[in-house]
Amino acid sequence: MQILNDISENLQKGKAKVVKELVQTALNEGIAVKEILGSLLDGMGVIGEKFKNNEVYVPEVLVAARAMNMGTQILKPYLAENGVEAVGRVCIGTVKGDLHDIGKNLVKMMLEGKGLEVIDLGTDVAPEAFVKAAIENDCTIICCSALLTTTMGVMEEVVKAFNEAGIREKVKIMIGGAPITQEFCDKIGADAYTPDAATAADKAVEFCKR
Amino acid sequence: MTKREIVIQALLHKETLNVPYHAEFTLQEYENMVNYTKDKNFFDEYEGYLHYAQYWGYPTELPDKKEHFKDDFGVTWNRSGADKDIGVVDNPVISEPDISLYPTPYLNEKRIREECENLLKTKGDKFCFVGIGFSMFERLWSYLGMEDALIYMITDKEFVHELLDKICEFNLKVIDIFNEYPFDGIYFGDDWGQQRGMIMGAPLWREFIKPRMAKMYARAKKNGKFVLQHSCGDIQEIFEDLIEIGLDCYQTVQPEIYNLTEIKEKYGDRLAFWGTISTQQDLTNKTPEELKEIIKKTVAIMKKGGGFILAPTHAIPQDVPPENVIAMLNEFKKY
Repeated sequence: MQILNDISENLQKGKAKVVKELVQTALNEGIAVKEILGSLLDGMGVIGEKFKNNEVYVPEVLVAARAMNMGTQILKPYLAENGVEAVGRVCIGTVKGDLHDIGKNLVKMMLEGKGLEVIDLGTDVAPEAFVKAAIENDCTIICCSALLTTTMGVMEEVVKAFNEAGIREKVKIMIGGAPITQEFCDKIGADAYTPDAATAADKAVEFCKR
Repeated sequence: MTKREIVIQALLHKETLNVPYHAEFTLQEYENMVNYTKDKNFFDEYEGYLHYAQYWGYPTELPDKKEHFKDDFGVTWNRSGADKDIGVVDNPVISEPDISLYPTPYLNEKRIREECENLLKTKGDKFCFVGIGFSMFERLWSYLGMEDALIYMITDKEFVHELLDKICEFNLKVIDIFNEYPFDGIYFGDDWGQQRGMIMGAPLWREFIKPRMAKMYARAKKNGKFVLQHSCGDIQEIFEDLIEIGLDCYQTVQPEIYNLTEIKEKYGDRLAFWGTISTQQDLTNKTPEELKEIIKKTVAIMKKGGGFILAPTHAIPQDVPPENVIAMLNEFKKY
């Protein structure tokens, strides 16, 4: 359908206002909510792939995500009644002591771009706050971010806190940020490290499908 | 040869008998080192080859808000997290893409001059230079917040150009003051890199940042000063651009990001490298013995033909064991 292609194309260009208008038009024309949402996710998927391949950079991701938000805001009231469910639910935050959020926000945008529901815990998040949020929101995954070598150690405490709370088996723990490596992920017993936001979203979808 | 002469030779890509080196510390790591060595002046023994200071608007702690520092640009930095040296922007000073909201910064010329004079008085025989931190992109995002700064690069280009022009104009005034003093170089701090690739990508960097850096480099070079540029992360994509606009030395050179052999071969005869010893991975995680081996191998790659200042890739953070710092510094002195 042309209008769905147009939504995807305009989202990729970051044309937020156009996307908003097109989504409204599509709704008015009676196109299924699920299909409209699909066109938004399709556009964001293209941006994610291009981001992974260094064909686009953070600014392009940000404007595309903003356009997607404009579209999903319009769809939101109709999602539940049309039986459209999120792919999964994720709690995300930057770990305690670390106030940096651009990386965490990028991952959040990419996760939403894959149709996941994301609960953003912000920055400076204590291990017990991750546990509490995961229980309260019945999350499948938690994503922990750190920019500093001096704060990445908190991720190990997060893993321990989930063990102690007895919910480690129920929740996948994903980690990321500049100093993080696969070796570190293995050492602390987290479930996945991904080097960029788009790959993180792919991994999260994979976890939700299992 | 004095230390200054050795650094100049290195920057001119001439191999010297000794490899110049440098190290600096975060406030917290310096304290750790003082506690470990029980010597407030522990670093005197290792005296590096560089002597410099950076201007970035003198962030001063707010009397009514602990661990929050306001600079001369009107930006408040929250340092209540683990990072006590820089912090994060507390709230954007410019809330919309409207150039009339630009707050003219306070140019504290008296203090800048005092610091220049002090720096020169204390330089000894080292290579002495002065810098502007947060010199372009970082100043932009400190005004706007990182996400809006990047978004406006696409949605409000004219506004971003106007704001960057103002930032550049201010910096040129600071450079003119620096140029009145006999410094050996001028240093610019501005992070453009991520762990992989550039934050804004090379095309937007070329559109927005490059022309202004070129202006600032040219002004610095007017008096024959060397130009040194700091950027964390991966900016290999723009090495040729930086060489083209006159950069002499690039600082950080994170070995977990760059293939040192490759960059030395491709750019090493035209661009000097300062850094290469990883604060992000090696200094934190390796043993003193392993570190010595890493330094030895790194020097073997980088020393050839000059163009190299051996140093940690960043101010050493507080999670680096003091034993590693001492081992590193002793190894540095060998070359």
